[in-house]
Amino acid sequence: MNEKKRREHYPLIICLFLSALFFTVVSVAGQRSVLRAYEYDYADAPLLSLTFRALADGVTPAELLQAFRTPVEEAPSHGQNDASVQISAPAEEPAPAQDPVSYRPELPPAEDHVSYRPELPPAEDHVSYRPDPEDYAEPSDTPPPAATGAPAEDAYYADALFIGDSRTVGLSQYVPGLDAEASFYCKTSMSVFNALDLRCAPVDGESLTIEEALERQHFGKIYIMLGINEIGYDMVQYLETYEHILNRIRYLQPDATIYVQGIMHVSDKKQREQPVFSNAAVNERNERLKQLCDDEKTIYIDINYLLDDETGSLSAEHTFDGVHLTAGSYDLWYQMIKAQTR
Amino acid sequence: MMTFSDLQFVFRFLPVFLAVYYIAPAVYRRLILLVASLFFYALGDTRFFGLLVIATLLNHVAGRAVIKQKPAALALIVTLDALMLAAFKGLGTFVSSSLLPVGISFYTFKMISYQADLYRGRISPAPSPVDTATYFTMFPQIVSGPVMRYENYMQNSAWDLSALQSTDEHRRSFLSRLEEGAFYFCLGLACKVLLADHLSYAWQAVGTIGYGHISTPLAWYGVVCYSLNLYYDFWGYSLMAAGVGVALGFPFIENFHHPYAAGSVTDFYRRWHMTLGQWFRDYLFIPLGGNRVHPARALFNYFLVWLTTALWHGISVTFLIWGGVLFLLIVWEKYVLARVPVLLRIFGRLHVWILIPLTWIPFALGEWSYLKGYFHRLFPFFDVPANVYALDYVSIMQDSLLYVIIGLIVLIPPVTDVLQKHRKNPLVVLFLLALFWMSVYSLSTADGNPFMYFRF
Repeated sequence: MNEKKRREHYPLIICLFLSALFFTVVSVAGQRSVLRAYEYDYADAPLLSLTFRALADGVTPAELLQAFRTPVEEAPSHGQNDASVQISAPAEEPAPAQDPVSYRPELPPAEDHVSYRPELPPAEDHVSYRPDPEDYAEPSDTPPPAATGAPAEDAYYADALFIGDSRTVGLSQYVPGLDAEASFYCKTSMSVFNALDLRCAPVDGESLTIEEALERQHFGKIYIMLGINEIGYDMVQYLETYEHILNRIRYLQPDATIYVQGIMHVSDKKQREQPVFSNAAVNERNERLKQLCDDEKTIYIDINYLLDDETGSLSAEHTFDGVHLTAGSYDLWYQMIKAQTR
Repeated sequence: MMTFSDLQFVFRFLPVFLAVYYIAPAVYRRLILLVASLFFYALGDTRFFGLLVIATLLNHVAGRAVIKQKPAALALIVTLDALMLAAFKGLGTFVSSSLLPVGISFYTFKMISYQADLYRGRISPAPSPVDTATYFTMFPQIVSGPVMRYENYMQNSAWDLSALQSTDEHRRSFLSRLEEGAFYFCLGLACKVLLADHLSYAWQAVGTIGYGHISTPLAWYGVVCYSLNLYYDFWGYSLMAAGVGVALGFPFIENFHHPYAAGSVTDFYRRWHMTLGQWFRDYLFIPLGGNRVHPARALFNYFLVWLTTALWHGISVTFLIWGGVLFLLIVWEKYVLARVPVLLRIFGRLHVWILIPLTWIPFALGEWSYLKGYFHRLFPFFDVPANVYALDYVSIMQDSLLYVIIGLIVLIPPVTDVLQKHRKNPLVVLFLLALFWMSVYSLSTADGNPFMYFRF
């Protein structure tokens, strides 16, 4: 019997091998230029994963391949949202490598911060701002709360605005009484780096950026909670950007009282599973946030004391994923807001 | 590194192992596999590595007596293996989940099947210590199966090359094994990383809200998400494990055969986690008499099998509910519906499409309070709790609907069957290549940077 000799083909393994080689070579070349700022430890991941991280960040294939032709000296900037590039935004000289948790920013000592002046441009340069009477919330009939207490009425929050990330989204969804009265400009993925520019403010049927909305609307109380998305980033950068946001809001809403909500803790389980989410880091940032407040028009409020367990972490009974509250626990957050709102 | 869908496994451990395995002469390959598997386990579960070694030695030694048809030896070793499993499962459930050794549910079942097959004379001659140890510990199966039989282990085609004549044939045969293995591995990787992992985000989002506080549409959507997530996660793993096995010379071990195309619950469990079902059939059900006995006794046999299956998965009320409901459904199908075949044809399908996904909820939710809360939301006829956001499903569906739709399409058997039949077609190869690199992309970007892209 004749045995026909068949030509065997192995296209899959050959292509897999060649493409793996290709991506590895691109990573090697890229490390000399475009990918230089990426944190990479050979022990943790194969080299080719760098290329994929770069692609996910928006580095174009052209930029990656450019590394083959000319070794580029500076890493090109990709804007504020670069997730893994650990260089500070306006870098004249390279930022010193620092441990974000232990770094102490050079903020002026507390006494200098008591009287807070927003940096308004000189009068002739800025357009004079008049609140539109129609946007102005009707003053509540009930008298304002005493400094240590708070009225229970949701209506008191008709002139309130909540700005924040997915945790604030949850607040809007699970405290319907508050949602009916207050405004919420919040979105999953919000951080100090994109807060003012995120198109998440529903105004008159349009979806505006927060900055645009603050130019049009008028609020008496503005609550902010931002910080969990930035927990792995340089603390100084976070605080400086937060301060910039406060300045901006102060300028656009000079009559509003700004409530800087302390960053909510994560559960103990979460910080053990992923140490970058450490409550120690959260607490450090909250301490610095207090220093940004003058306690008159910019007030720091603590929103952890009803939610924490004995160890100072978010209690397991209030969370499933360690970061967000379960639906039934948002009322406690509202309680803490009410207790500290003036 | 113990998960196959891990970059360290795919790009470091596996290629290095395959290179050593195939460069070495065929006579050394069993030993190479054994050493690599022990290394794999020692890295992944250092604490219980000793247990695996001791259990392996004990089973090998006992096996020498069992093969001589000594019933006492069989009874002793099987009891020991079963007790070991029960003990650690108990510790893992009631003391701390870290006390459950990796893979123990699977390797003890391999050990019991080995002893039973030795006793019945299906394994002959007596295996060498290396063979026994390699069979029990082989890394492609140690973590989550498939529960391969020893006779399949002996069918490895990369160890006895006396039939092959030339070096040309050697090269072609090992390359074709790698090619076929790569096919299954790429498919399995995509199922796990592209489908299952993304579907699990939706399921996580449901839990984050709180099972007792989700809207009813979300509760039902969650059933779909979890069912698909579970299937693609486990089927994906099984394909990867089988793919690596094939690359090493083992026959392809099928663990899932289009379960959602089944016509009844009975049929479903002949297609879902097949090696486990076959184990229970061959080593528990049939020795008890199976269904070729008085109906009351057959019923008892089914009950015992489902009870042990439930406990094998986990010692909790919710797993018992899961097993209990399936037992009742199977009995209902076999003894009642079967009398009117057209009823079985109609209702059987409904059982598979509606009831089986619902049974995954007790399977998924370990706690009775969660289960109670979830079912109240599925069937909101009693009360509606406060703190339910009626539109909670909107953002979750926006993020996951694409994966659900793809997941539903891939359930249709011809979709994957055609890929398998035309494995060598250039379009199929390109498609699998794309799937592979998309999976690697997904793993690279999720890897290590949990707060990347501002997830919260």
